[in-house]
Amino acid sequence: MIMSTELDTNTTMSNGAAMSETDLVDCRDTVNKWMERYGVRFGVYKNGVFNEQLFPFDAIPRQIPADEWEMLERGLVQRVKALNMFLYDIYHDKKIVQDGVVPKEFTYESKGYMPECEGITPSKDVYAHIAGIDLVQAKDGRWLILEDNLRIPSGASYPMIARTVTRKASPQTFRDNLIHDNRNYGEMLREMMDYINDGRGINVILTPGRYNSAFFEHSFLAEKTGATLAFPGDLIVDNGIVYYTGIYKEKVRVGAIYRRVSDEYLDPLAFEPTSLLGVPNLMEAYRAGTVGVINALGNGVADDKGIYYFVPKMVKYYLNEEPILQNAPTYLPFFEEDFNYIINNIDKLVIKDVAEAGGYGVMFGRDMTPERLEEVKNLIIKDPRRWIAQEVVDFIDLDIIDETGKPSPRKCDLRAFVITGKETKVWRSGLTRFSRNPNSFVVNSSQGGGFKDTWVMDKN
Amino acid sequence: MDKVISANTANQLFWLGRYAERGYLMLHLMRRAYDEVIDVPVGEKPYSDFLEKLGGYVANNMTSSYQMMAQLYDPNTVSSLYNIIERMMDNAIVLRSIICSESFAYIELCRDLLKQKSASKEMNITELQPITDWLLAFWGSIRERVYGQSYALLEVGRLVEHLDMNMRFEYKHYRIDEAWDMLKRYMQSEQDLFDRVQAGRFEMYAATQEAYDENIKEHKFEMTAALNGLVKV
Repeated sequence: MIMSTELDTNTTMSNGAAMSETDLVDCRDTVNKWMERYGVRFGVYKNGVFNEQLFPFDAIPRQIPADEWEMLERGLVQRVKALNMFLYDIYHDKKIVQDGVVPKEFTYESKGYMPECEGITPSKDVYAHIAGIDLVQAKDGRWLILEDNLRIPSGASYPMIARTVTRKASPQTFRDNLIHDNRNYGEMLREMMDYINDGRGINVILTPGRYNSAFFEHSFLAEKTGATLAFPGDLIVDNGIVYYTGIYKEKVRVGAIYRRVSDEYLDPLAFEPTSLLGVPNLMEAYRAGTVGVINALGNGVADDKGIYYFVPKMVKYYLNEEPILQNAPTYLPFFEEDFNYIINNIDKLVIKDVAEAGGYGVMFGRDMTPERLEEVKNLIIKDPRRWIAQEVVDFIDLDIIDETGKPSPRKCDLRAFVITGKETKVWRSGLTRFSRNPNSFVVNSSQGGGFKDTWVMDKN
Repeated sequence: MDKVISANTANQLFWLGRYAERGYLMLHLMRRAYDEVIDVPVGEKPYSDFLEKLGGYVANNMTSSYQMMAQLYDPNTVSSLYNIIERMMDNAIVLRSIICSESFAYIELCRDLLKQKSASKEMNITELQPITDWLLAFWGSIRERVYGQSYALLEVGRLVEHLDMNMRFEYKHYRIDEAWDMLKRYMQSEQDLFDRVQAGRFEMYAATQEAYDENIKEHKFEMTAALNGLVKV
């Protein structure tokens, strides 16, 4: 293997440090073999059949200079603090609605709003313990928020394991460059879980099971946090206390549940009665405050694509600060002015269905036929609350190594992970996803996207 | 720190131990069978005895090499190496947080190699030697990384399978004694895992070396039945 110091093809990073992408690129087969060896996969259902596939990894990392990261970190902490305050407010005093900052149509009519959570204060008042905030960088260098994910954001395990592997494959690259180590994500999660747990019992990660698309992540994070991986049926509630049942039916108290099961399936006695994935009476324990649930139930009201529009307003309202990070320019057909703009400019906009996720329900006006544009217009007219429209952000391309082995530009986003326990902290890394199709803006893994490591550069 | 484990997890650990031992021993025994075949006259069915002991279906109208190919790679042959590795993976995949990614990786390597060799219809068994090496490395990794009851369950699974295969292939009686003694140590530390009646039954039959050495069918049946009812997972 050629070490980076022996190469004369070094590129220069924006903070001036020397690095060798070439070295990592040369090692990409080794890296991919190690990823295979560790079973770094995700599951996809196609035509009702479950398939596991490797998550394509590109060896060229995204690099974020230290000063740029500092700004991002401040902005992300600010945003997540405001979102946590919003969630508390919505399920308690509702001041933001009463004050007319957020219309009630975007809160109590949201699919993610859960009336069952009214008046419940989660352990330590934290709702969004793990926030996955999706950003893109525009060509003028500005970072823009695309989406907040406050329910079950996934993907942190991939850059974590990628870093473990790339450090093995190309040690000199990491010796030559000042990169924040991202392998502390497990410790960050553990620290937050312990805080929420408050010594009441064990920490568990509740998975729907091995046929969930993110099962690799569930099991990997259980390994890295030391939490017990619980499957449906492993947890019971007795007298308002959650227990993990051991081999001889012994009951071990659970203090915090990092659940990877959606709200509606979490308790068949409170929500979807046919759910076999949940824990009967969990809601009773949650309401009594005997267990911490990570993330809190009902967070969907704050990460709906419609409420996204109002997050900068929440920052001003709750924190009395100017938002450090801006949203991508967004229009809500719910408002008359925006409605008219959307109808007149639909061919230039991206239309998103607020009820969809994972890159589904995203339509680019420029790619639609006139007939389809008319259909979409009619859908918006019929149910304006269901849609948002955004300007197409011309975000920067990052090079990937394509099938021919050559660098080729692709659209990329960044999912930053913000952890809130005693404090709100941003994980100094993130999941950089790229579109494998050169003509596509959709980067979601479920739609064939790949991922890169994200290097946050260290000043010192 | 030893973690509490659920009944399902205990079952998965036990069976992962069994399948890992079965995969290892099957390859060992296949290599032995391949060696013995060198001296078998042309026209005889050299692998029939071996396949019958494994519990596989032996079709008389198939060539020996086809039978052995099925024993290695055929998903429809229940006792095939393919199925053993797949069942190992089924269990390992849900046990990653207990056995650790490093141990898991050895099973992934076994599966990948077997798939490659299956695609090329590889019949030279020496090409599968890395699977044996990785299975040994898997156990080394388990001993490094897994503790307490989880480790005990894996090891109990391994010993039960070891005894089962040793009996099927008529290993010397002292080998049965040795493995049984090791298993009994776990009976002391993990008493609730074991069925005492079945343990007594196995002990009684295992003690009669003469019947074992003569390979009396009823005797072997009793031992196997006791062994399979021994662990309560």
